[in-house]
Order: sequence, then structure tokens, then C-alpha cells
Amino acid sequence: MIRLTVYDAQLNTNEWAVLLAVCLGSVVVYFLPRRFSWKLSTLFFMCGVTFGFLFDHVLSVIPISFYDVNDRSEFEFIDFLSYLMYGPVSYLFFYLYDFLHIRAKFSPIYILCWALLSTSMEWVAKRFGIYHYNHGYSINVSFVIYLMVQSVWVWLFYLLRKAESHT
Amino acid sequence: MTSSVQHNKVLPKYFSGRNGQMQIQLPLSALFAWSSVILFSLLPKRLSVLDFAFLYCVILILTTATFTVFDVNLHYVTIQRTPMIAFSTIIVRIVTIPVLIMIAVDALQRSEGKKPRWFFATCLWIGLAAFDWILDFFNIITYHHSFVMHLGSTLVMYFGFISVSWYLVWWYRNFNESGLSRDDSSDRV
Repeated sequence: MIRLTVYDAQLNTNEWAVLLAVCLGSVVVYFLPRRFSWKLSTLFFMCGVTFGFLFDHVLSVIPISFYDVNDRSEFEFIDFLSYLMYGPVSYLFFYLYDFLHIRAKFSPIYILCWALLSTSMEWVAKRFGIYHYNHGYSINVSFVIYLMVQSVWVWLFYLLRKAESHT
Repeated sequence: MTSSVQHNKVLPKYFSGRNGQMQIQLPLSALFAWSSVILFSLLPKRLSVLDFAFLYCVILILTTATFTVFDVNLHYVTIQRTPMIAFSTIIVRIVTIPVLIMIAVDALQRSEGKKPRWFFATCLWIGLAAFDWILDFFNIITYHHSFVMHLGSTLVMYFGFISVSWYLVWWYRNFNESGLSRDDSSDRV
């Protein structure tokens, strides 16, 4: 059984930051000119949310909770909303990758830039009280995780585009 | 008294990994994962690769959120925080359970005049509930209530997972390019 921690119990900066990020991200995704089919766009959005859930609920919780999200170490509704924040990020990642016509051999540079950007966003989120690190976890580890996840995203980009062209 | 305590009376000592002996949980989880992937790859599919990618995302979100609530919030079904059992749980949660639910949802699809395979999907649904009990038996997860209560709640939970993911895949498959869902009558032959 894991140790339960309460960081705060009020509607304050972290909740407003999550709500603002979700709204802003959704508006950006909605108003961007279309580049992909609806099916592919939905998948690209879902990629971020799924990887967020995967890391925050499976890999970061078991066997040790390396970080908690928002006010408590228990799962809350605002935590669910905070995973929706990853959706626009992944969509923009795929969108710009396609928009900028990045060649496969230059994709490591693109991934590195996005990993730095994602780490900066996480640093801001930590300042707002969205993330609380435990057991020696640090933002450096997150940087490495972003590198790996976004490398998988580039592979998924080609895989899903190919799959769509075959259907 | 938790059911895991009762199981320790039944299981041979080496299953629980005490005194530095081999733990059976990790190889067992890997075996279940391998079997589910082999089953998935051998069965004929009705959904496309994109549909399966969407389905996997939906199932992973649904199951991880539910299992976290059961474990962290309610302490209804908990996981031992030892590295071997944790790794076994990760394999089960990322591979075995989503793949089995994907097979069940795929079997329930109508495609090219084929009817949904209700019997096969029902067998998988009951199989998933039995699999949950096996996980408890091998101490990968720990039930904190009676067996009957757990059997009922597990059946309801997996029925919910299959139903919700079936509906979301139906909605995803019927996406047209205007972004609105069209009537599914064109899929029925």
C-alpha cells in the first residue's frame, strides 16, 4: 500500500493552471488548419493522453510513486483533466512534424527540441504545484523520458500514416 | 482477513518468493502476455490498424484509471510494492488485459456480412474475470473482500470496459470527414 500525501486542499494555482492549459490547448487544436484526417487527428491527440496515463499511473506509481499530480497522491478528477493537457502537446508535435516536412534523418534534432520544450513546460507546471516529486525523482529524469516517448511518437507517426494509406 | 493470507496456505512456499527463492509471478505474467499476443495475432481481425490503435488508447486509459482508483483511493484491490510483483503487474496492465479486451471488442464488430461473435466475446469476458482471480491466487494483486463480491465486481468491471470501448470504437469507425458520426447502417450488410 502506498503512502498517501495531501499537498493542499483548495482550488488554487494548480487547478486554474490545468483548466487554463486544457482550454487553451483545445482552442489551439480546434483552430489550427487541418492537416490530417479526423481519425488520424483523434489518434494523435489520444497519443499524448495515453502516454500520460501510462507513465503517471503505471510506471510512476508501481513499485514506487516517483511523483504525485495536483493536490493529493490519490486519483482525483482534476488529475484526469491534467492528463488532457498532454493531448494538445502530442497533436502539436505531430502537426509541426508534418508541417515542417522534417526528414527522418533530422528527426533526432526535432525530438531534442521538443524534449527541451516539454521539460520547460513541466518545470512551469511544477512551479504551479501540478507535480510533486518523491524518492529522488528530478526533472532530469523527465527529460530522458520525454526523449524516449517522443522518439516513439515519431515512429508512430510513420506507422499510422502508412496504416491510413493502406485502408 | 484478506484473501492473500488465505492463499499463502494453499500456495507452495516458492510461489511467494521468500528466502531468496524464485518468484513465479514474473515468468507467469510474461507467459500470459505472450499467450494473449499470440492469440491476438492468430485470430482474424475485423478492425483496421487505426481502429486498433484507438482501441488500445481507450482501453489503457480506462483500465489504468480504474485500477488506480481501486488500488490507491479505495484500497479494494492492492498491489504489493516489491520490484518483481510490480513488474509483473505492469506487464499485465500494459499487455495482457488490453489485448484480451481488444480481442473481445473485435469479436463484437459487424464486418462484411459477418455477425458479432457473442459466444466468443462472452467466453473472453468470463475468462478476464477468471484471469483476475488467477492474479490474486498468485499474489500479483491482492483482493481485500470476499471471493463472491470480487467475482461480481470483476464481471461488472470487465463488462463495463468491453461495453465502453465497443461504443467508442463504433463511434470512431463511423467518423466521416466532416467530423460527425454517420449512421452505421452502411456497415450492415
